[in-house]
Parts: sequence; structure tokens; C-alpha cells
Amino acid sequence: MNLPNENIIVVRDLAIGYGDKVILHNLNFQVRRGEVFMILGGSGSGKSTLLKNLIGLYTPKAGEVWIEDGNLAVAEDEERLRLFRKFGVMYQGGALFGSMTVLENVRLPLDEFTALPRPLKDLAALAKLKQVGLTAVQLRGSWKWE
Amino acid sequence: MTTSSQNELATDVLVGPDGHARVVLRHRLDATTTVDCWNLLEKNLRPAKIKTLEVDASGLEFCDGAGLALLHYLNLGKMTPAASVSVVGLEAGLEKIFLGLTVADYEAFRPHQRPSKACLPTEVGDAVARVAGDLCEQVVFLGNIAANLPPTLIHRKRMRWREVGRVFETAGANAVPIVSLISLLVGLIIAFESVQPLAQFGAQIYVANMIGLVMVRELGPLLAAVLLAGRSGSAFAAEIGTMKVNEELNALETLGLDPIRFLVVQRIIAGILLTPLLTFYATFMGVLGGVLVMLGSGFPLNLIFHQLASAVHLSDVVLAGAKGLVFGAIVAAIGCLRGLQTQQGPSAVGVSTTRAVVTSILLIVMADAVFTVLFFILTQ
Repeated sequence: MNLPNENIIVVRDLAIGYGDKVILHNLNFQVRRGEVFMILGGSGSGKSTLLKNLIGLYTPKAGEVWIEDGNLAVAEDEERLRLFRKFGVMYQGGALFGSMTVLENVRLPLDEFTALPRPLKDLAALAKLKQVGLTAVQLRGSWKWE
Repeated sequence: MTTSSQNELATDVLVGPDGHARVVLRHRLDATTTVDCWNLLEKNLRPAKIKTLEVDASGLEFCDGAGLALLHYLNLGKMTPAASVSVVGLEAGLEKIFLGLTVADYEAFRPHQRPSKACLPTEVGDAVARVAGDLCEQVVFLGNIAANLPPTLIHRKRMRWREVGRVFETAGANAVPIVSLISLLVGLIIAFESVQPLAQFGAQIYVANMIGLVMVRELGPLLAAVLLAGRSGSAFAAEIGTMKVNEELNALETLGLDPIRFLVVQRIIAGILLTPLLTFYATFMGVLGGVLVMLGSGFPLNLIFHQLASAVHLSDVVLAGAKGLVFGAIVAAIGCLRGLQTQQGPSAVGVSTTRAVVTSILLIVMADAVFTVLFFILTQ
């Protein structure tokens, strides 16, 4: 059972960079469940690089990135996929798949990773859209919605 | 009563003879257990004639989005269309989310009316209207360029020669390796394929005449233009299309800058200037490929040059240069036009790029046919 104040992200002695160049090192912090955690810094200070290391897009030079019970910095294959399914990422530019409708974008993880019947996947995706205040009327003007 | 308990979910289904049914869910309803639960309910509820259905979720310890979707599905009466359904016992937080999705939301998201498929004559008519509209836009665009080109060239401040230089480098100088390789190989292949049949008549030496004429008159200009369309016409469409999607073109207009004068004219001038050069270079490399095959067949270099000089005349070279000028203008103009025509949406730039390449190649071949007929008439 998850405790309210448990750490779900733990970063230990992290060093990140490009090629042979280390841009940030000796990073240590924890993020608790439900906590809003902010990383602040000037332009070019390495915020995006740090986040890309935290979500497994880049491999850290050294250190550990624990997502609940797994170290993403060294995880490979199945373990890496298991950890990826534990978190979601909201990208700056939206990163929606243009060939799909809004509903299909939201439904994609259910399509790929569950055996749920189609009507339930549609309903689950609709409920998520409604939870964030997106309705059919709002989506008609901008995106493919059906 | 049907009872099922698998993967931590316990499901009790009671269907009474009076048409009242009750489903009791306990423990864990997640993306995995929901699938089994769905199958069980489909088997027991759908065939039965149920008038009222009560779903008791008070025993649930965990319920995720998939589980809530199942409750929504039941609540909307999708499994029991004739029954009045009630879902009771949901934990307060879950109930708030559950009540957030209403029947009206569900209906609003469903496509109200599928667009009816048009019949063949309608589709043909629409396609003709689109082509005619596109031709009109091309003519209007041509007029815009013609109106903007002279004043831009006359006023030095209006003409951004640095941009012309940049396009010249990316579309011209950077294309030299690929133009070299393809032209050399095409010349080599044509010569190699024709040496063997001509050898049967002892006419191998005329391969030099043929390769000279084919490369200078036709393949040199065509290869250069097609490669330019693939490399640079598409790049023009993508650059300007991305600017349009990012509303940079709107910004230019509100600054009082005409996008055609600011973006298009430079590219067209660069295209017109560099394509003849690229054409002559492609021709030279193609002829070189043919010469290599001739040398390999044992013919001396001076004899090959003599044959080339006797076959290719100044008028052929002028024709190649003229084709280069026109093809360059076509590729640059169409690339820019398709970029300016870019619609909104994530796939818009890709569509514009494809249209730029396809239209450019089509117009290049059509212009080439016109050139060939005119040249034939003029040299008669």
C-alpha cells in the first residue's frame, strides 16, 4: 500500500551531459506522491536535459533515478518498459499524434497495453477528456475529434 | 446466481425471474480484471430480459479508469437496453468522477451523421473543380511574382541577396554530390545498355553521338530539375509551410511586408540562376559516364571527342540552358506556392511538400514536351 508521504521519485548523485561534457552533477532530490515539484533555472541551464534524463530519453553519466521501485538509469528491456508505464509526460509542444483523433490519442495506451473491449476503451478515454474539461464542442473547432 | 473471483476481483451476478438483476463488485476493478468482468456480464446480462439493474460497487477497494468505463457502460444501459440502471456504493471521490461523464457528453462525442459517400460523377466533378481552382491560383501566383520581381530587383534594399546566396548554397552547391553520382550513373547505364546492341551492327562509336545528344538535350536538364524538385522544391514548401503554420506569414503581413517579395522572389531568382548551372554540370557528368564506357570498350579519347563535337551543336547547349532557366523557375515557384497554400493541422506541411514535388515534376515534364516540339519546329 502506498503511503501518502512516500517518495515516488528519488534522484541520487546524478550527473548528466552530452558526449564527454557533464553539464550538471551531484544532483540529489526526492519527489513525494502528490507533491508539485518545480525545477527552476535560466535559459540553457539544463532543465530540459535533466527532465529527459529523469524520463529515460537520455542515459545519465552517473547516478540513480528511482521511479518507485525501479532504477530507470540502468533499467533495460522489460524492466524499462515496466517503469515507463508508471508515469506520463506532458510535452511542451503537445506531442499529439497528428494522424489520430483526440479520442484515439487518449485511448492509445489502452489499445496497446490492455485487452479491454472497444466500447470500454472509448468510454475510459471520454471520461479522461471530460475530467480535464474537454468536451466535443471545444474540440470540434481545433482537432479531429471523431 | 453466478459468482466469479479472479485476479482479486469478485463479481456476483444475480438475475431474478421478475427481471430484476443485481451485480455486486468487490475488491479490485482494474484494466486487467475489467476484461474478465465484462465477459461475465455479457454472458449473464445481455441475453436476459432485465427490467432493472443495480450495480453495487461498495465493496470495491480499487477502481481505475477502465473499471469506471465498465460502470459507465452499464449505467448507460448499453448491456441492458430495456432496463433502468443504478450504480450505488461508489466511494465519494470515484462517484464525483463517475457523475462527471453524462449521457449528453457521450452522445455529443459520437459522430451524429457519417458523411455520405459521394457518387463517381460527383467525385469527378469535385476533382475537376479542384484542379481548375488550383490552376487559377497558379495563374494568380504567377501574376503576383511578375508584379513583384521587377521592383524588388530595381530597389537594392528590397532584394535580400544574402537569402539568394543561402538558397544558392543549400539548393545548388550542396546538391553537387548527388547530382554528380546520379548523372554519372545514368550516363554510364545508357552507354552500357546501348553499346551491346550497336556492336551487332559495328556502330558502337555512335554511342558517343547518342549520349551527347540525349544528355545535352533531355536528360541533363531533366535530371537536374527533378533532383532540384526533390531536394529544394520540397524544402521551399516545408520552410514556407512551417512559417505559415507558425503564423510567421501573418506576422510579416502585419509588419507591412509582402511574403512574396520577402520570401518567394529570392527563392525564384536563386532557382533561375542555379538550375542552368546544375543542368550543365549534370550534362557534363552524364557525358563523362558515357565516355568512361566508351573508353572501356577500347575507343580512343580523341575519337570520342570528335564524335561528340560532331553530334552536339551550340543550339543544343542553348536549348539545355533555356530548359534549365524554365525548370528552375517552375521548381522554385511551385515549391513556394505549395508552401503558401499550406493548411492548418499536423499533417499540413507534409501534404504541401508532397504536392510541391508532384506538381513540379508534372510541370517539368510538360514544359520539356513543349520545348521538344518547339525545338523540332524551329530547327526544321
